[in-house]
Amino acid sequence: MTGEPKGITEKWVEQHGATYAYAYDKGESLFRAVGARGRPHAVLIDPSGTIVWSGHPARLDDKMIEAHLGSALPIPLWEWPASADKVKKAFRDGALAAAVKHIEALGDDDFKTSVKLALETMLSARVKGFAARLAHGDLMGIDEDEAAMLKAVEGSAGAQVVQDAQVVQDAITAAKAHPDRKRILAGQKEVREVRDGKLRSKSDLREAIEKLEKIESKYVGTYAQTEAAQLRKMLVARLS
Amino acid sequence: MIHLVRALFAPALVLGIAAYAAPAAIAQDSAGGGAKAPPIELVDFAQTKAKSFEDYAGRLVLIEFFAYW
Repeated sequence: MTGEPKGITEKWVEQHGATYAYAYDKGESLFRAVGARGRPHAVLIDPSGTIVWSGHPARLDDKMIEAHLGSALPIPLWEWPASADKVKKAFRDGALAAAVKHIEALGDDDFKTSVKLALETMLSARVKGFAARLAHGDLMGIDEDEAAMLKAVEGSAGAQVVQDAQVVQDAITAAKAHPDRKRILAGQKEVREVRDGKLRSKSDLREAIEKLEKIESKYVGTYAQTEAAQLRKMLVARLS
Repeated sequence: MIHLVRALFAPALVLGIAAYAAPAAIAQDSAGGGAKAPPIELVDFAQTKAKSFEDYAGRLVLIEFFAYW
């Protein structure tokens, strides 16, 4: 290839009549970070920024897409009216409850109705997901998401949002007081060390799989065991 | 509506890049990977009004890694 990739790409897009949005993954950093091994490869990212599917695009079915459309903003941010700038700022900052509060101040129209509902749905889904982490014993996940969740429910107004804030606070408190906290966090840390380690060659993968098996045995009945098993299965699939 | 963004691999841009990021715990070819997406630094968006990936916040986005050679 030449030293002018952008020019070549634009020519290719024009020649093939491609109309989809595109961008450049500079340095392939995203490609590598999602664990892709070849092209084409696709990742589906839900409205909360979570990767909910990863694989060959031909194998992505409509049901997976439909399952996540319900909680998405009905109108992309670049189409929001200037009157909604405060809402947009709060949303971009992750302050969902504040965004709901700001949108309530706008005049009634289709934008307000549809976006307000989406924001409330999104906030509710995030709170439920956070509470589910506690139910699963994912203490590290709660610790990592604590600040973002507190921000999401900050400035709560309205009965439902106040209730959401309480659920978040209760989950944080319960996670910190968990009787097996130290052990679970130690196990989750070990899983992350394997995940973030060297995983290039087949021998790296085999070594990592062995470590994960040990973690699974060491932390039976904890979320660390669950995470270790999930990662092990993924690495086994990469080996085959 | 779902957004499809194709992340193009432009060979000349990646010369000399050696940094390796370990994959997040994402299920391959399956649902429910559940890993938070890593920081997404796609550049030079085209055929969209979005200027950066942050503009897609709150939307369902399918990123397809694609090469044209």
